Amino acid sequence: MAEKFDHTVLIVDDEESIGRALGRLMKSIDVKYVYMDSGPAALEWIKKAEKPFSLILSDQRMPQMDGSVFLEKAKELTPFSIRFLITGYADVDAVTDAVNKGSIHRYINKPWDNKVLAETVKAGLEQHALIMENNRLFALAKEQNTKLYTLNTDLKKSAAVHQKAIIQKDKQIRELNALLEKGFENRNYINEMEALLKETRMLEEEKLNSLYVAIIAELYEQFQDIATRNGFEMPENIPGD
Amino acid sequence: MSVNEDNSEYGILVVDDDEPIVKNMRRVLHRKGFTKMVSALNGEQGIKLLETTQSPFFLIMSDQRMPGMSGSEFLEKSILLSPESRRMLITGFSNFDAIIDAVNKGEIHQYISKPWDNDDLLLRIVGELEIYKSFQERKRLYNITKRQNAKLFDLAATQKKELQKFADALKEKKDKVENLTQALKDAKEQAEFKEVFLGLDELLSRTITMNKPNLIAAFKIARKEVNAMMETIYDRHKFSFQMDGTASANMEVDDLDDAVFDIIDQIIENVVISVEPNLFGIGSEPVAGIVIDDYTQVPGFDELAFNDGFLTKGEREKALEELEAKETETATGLTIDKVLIKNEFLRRQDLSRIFAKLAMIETRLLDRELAKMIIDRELASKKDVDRAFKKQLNNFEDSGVAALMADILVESEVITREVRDELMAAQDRTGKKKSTIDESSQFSSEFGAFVDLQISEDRVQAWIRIPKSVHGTTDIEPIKALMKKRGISYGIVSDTEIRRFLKDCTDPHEKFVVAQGIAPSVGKPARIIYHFKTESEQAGVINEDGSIDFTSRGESPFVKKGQLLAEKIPMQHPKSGTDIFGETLLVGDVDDVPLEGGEGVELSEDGLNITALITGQPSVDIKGVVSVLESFTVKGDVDFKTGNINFNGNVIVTGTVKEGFMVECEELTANEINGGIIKIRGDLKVSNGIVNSKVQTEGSVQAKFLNKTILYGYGNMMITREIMESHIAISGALNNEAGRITASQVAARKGMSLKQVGTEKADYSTIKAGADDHIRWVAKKFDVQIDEKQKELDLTIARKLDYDEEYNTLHVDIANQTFAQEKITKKMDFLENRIGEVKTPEEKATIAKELKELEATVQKSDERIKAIFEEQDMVQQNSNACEQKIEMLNDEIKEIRKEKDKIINRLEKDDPVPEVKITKKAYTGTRITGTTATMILKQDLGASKFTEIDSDNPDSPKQLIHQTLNL
Repeated sequence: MAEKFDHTVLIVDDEESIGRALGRLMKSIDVKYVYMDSGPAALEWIKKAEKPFSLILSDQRMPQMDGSVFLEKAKELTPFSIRFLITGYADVDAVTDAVNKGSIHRYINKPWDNKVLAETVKAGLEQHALIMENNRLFALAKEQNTKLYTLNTDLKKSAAVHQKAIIQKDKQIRELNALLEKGFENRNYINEMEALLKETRMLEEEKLNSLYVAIIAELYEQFQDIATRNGFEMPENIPGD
Repeated sequence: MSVNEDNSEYGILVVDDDEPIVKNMRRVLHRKGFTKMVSALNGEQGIKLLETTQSPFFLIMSDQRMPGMSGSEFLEKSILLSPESRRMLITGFSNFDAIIDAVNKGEIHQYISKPWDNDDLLLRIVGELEIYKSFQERKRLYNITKRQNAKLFDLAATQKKELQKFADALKEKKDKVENLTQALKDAKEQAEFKEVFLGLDELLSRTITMNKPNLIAAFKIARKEVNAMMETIYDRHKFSFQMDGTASANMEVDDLDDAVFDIIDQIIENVVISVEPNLFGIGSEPVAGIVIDDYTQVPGFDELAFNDGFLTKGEREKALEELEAKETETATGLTIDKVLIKNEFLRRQDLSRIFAKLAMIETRLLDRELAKMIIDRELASKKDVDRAFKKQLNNFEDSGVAALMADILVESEVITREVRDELMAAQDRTGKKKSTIDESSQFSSEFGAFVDLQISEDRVQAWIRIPKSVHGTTDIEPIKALMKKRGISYGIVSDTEIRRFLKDCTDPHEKFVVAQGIAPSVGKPARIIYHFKTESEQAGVINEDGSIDFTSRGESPFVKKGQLLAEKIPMQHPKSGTDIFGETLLVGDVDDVPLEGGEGVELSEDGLNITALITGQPSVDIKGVVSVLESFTVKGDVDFKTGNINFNGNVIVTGTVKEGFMVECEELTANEINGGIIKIRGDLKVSNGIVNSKVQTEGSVQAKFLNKTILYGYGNMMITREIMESHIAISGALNNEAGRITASQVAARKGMSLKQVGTEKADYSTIKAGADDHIRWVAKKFDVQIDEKQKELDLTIARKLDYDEEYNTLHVDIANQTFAQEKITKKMDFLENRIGEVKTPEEKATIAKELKELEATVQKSDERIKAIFEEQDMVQQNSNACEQKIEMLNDEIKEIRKEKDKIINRLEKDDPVPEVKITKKAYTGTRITGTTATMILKQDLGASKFTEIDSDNPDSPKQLIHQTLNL
């Protein structure tokens, strides 16, 4: 993880020689660094920096601003940077205070062993990378959650829209079916015939009886004609079913 | 440092041989609330602790210098056991190179040298805790995002599917709308067309094929409509409709003036238009009920095909049209059948069926003449001829072969071969005349007297016989054409062979197989042969007093190590065949019986043999598992001294199984059971009585007497003396030939052989022979188990649904929180821009303050979201756990069902035997029941047999009958 991560360490010490020494140490472990000689200058730099520092290494004793005060302020500006305080034996109170406030992750006693400090810095950088990874994952989780939410809502919405469309088409089909059924229905010719009979004053039992006989006879006649034309004869008697 | 922190949930393991240091460490850790500290004195102890602990340690601290394992060695080993823990090495020296080496090797995260500064130590531990938590969080977030991803993927897929489904549905509906619109348009056009009446002739020729039956049918339809119309009008005016509806054609018509004829014409026109749709149906249905003997002449191929429903009217007409057109083109030998096949109006196999029927019709027509001749000449009786006709028809229905009636009469020795030949000659059927049916083949066809092609009833073989007239020919094509016509396509012998037969054949009765299909082979079910006695009816020697001596092994089987116990004859798989028409002939599957080995046996690799691994008693249980079991002997009683017995083998109790004690084993042999609870998988053998006990056995039972006992058994049961106040349900048979049953309910599926049921005074008994009481009890036992699991399953499913719903609720919660956050972030962006624009420091301060508050809100919201994510993660885990449980329960239920089916099937394999034999006396009041029928004795009966038989009464399909036995 540390390899993938582009770490930059901020070194804050009023003594330039120490700053340089620490810088060399960073270089030896292949880590970029920025050196500042005072707390206020470092804070300004933090504000301007595009990317937060992975780790801040600050001396406690500095003329303008104590390291512990500086780190406390730095924490506000860049909460995910790992903060180490370099202290001498006389700085016990300041350290206790800083620890209690949670503004430092570790303190390094003077004089330090370079190898040990290098390991400690490496561990700190790893921790920072882990924190950043978690932040990234958290943001991703939130984002995906939102996507899920939107997708779900969209799905519900589109389902409703689809259903509406289908219902509309179904309605159309029903209407067409109704129309078609009506179209296929035989018009009620019986009423027309009845009207015709009434008009011609045939609506009497007697008259109808003879009319009926005449219709059947005529019907048979017409069928017989067709049969003859097709080369056969209708039987004389055609029983009902 | 403040003390009020609570880190009690984070465990720390400290390994140090220096006890005061450990003590001090505990005190220091308390200051930061690390109250869960476990210590070990050396590495080995530490490892043991890690192996056995339930809750993980977030931190493992170890002193480097300890006797035995060094601290770094221990920490290295701890990686595998507790990979997520943070590791801290405590060193007493300050050789940093050595430390760093250890650090690199042991994945050690921290080291601290003695003596240490407590504050520094605590700060480092708190730091490690933070890292630990970060790793845990990363794990959780990683899982969450992975799961979300999967869900997103699913949702996207669902969406796509839904969209497709919708698109499909919509298209379907759109098409429907389009079709309907078109239909509506057509209908409109048709309606308009109808308006113009072109005359009856035009209308009829448009709707029906002009022939006599069709025209008559059309007339009937029109007349019916006239009747219906007139009836309606009569009804409306309360006139009485006198016509009988069958008004005939030649009725007298009074003189009517032209005006009335106009009316009549109009009415006829309207009637015909209104019945037009019905006219379309005329002639489209095949004429039903035309059977072979209804034809007075051989119908045309198309006519028969149409009458038998192979063709529709349209298809037939189309084919005839096409044929006509072709015939005018060239005078080729194109026939209607070829046209029908070409157009795929007919299938090839139907073709052969139709030809066969045509042949049959022709044969029948000729044979009817023949029959007349035979009867006239008194060569055979009408009965013989009718019988031959019937046989001919059956033969045809079975095999599709139209055998000659004369041949049938010869076969049944009614007439001689000579008479037949003479008759056939008289009818001119000896082969000179070409058949009317098939003119395309040079030697006529199978129908005539030329080549006789027959197909075996199983359709696996076809053979020919050829008349003398064609002996010596070499042209095989007609035969091949004949086979093709009959649809024979499989297993046809080579041309050379057919040619050789034609050339060499001299006997017109010689059969030559022209096509040979593959007959299916019926399989054989698997079978198991046991090489030991699987049912020990009578295991011991019965003494005078009815007690049974099991000390001599009696008939109970015994095998030595290495002995072959069972052999399986594997099943023979059935093989499907192929008939000469190329169709697959299927045969039913047969059963396989698995051979399963239990305790003390070995199943051979091929699964076909079981041999004994130990010396002991062999048995095969209800599920068919063969085992050999060792015995365990209890010298004396089963009581407080021995406690309950649960032995995976056979148990022998020389004394009594006492009140309240349970024995679970394979086979149980005891002197007496008094108040015991017996649940065994094998046989139960009791020398004396079973009293006040509850018995369940999967084997058979033998005892002297039974009193106040409830017994369920899979096998047979033999009681030498009384059965009193007991409840028995067994799937086997009951033998109580020398005893007496009183005040008991006894159900035995395989019948009973008894001496006496009841006494003058005793309460009545119920005797159920052939009843399924035991099977029902077994089934119920399984059902109870299934029910319980099902209930648990339902509950788990409901719980999972709850979790899933909760998950979704949380998911919406997070989304809402995120949306709120976004709003705030936007506002913050806006404020940050403004802060550059405002002039006064007061304004700047106000905005800065607001910004700070907003940022705090965002942070709080982030914390809240993290908490919800955590909750969601837990909910998901619970849901997953439910899912797993659901799967498990489903499997379990399936398993129980399978077990139930297996056992019930085995129990039901044999038919029940509803039969009771009583050799001495059955007293009044005894209820006797079969599988369903029941009777209560109204009087005392002597030696009797009761049997349940099928009855004619549909309300009670079974009845019990009583027979007196003469002994």
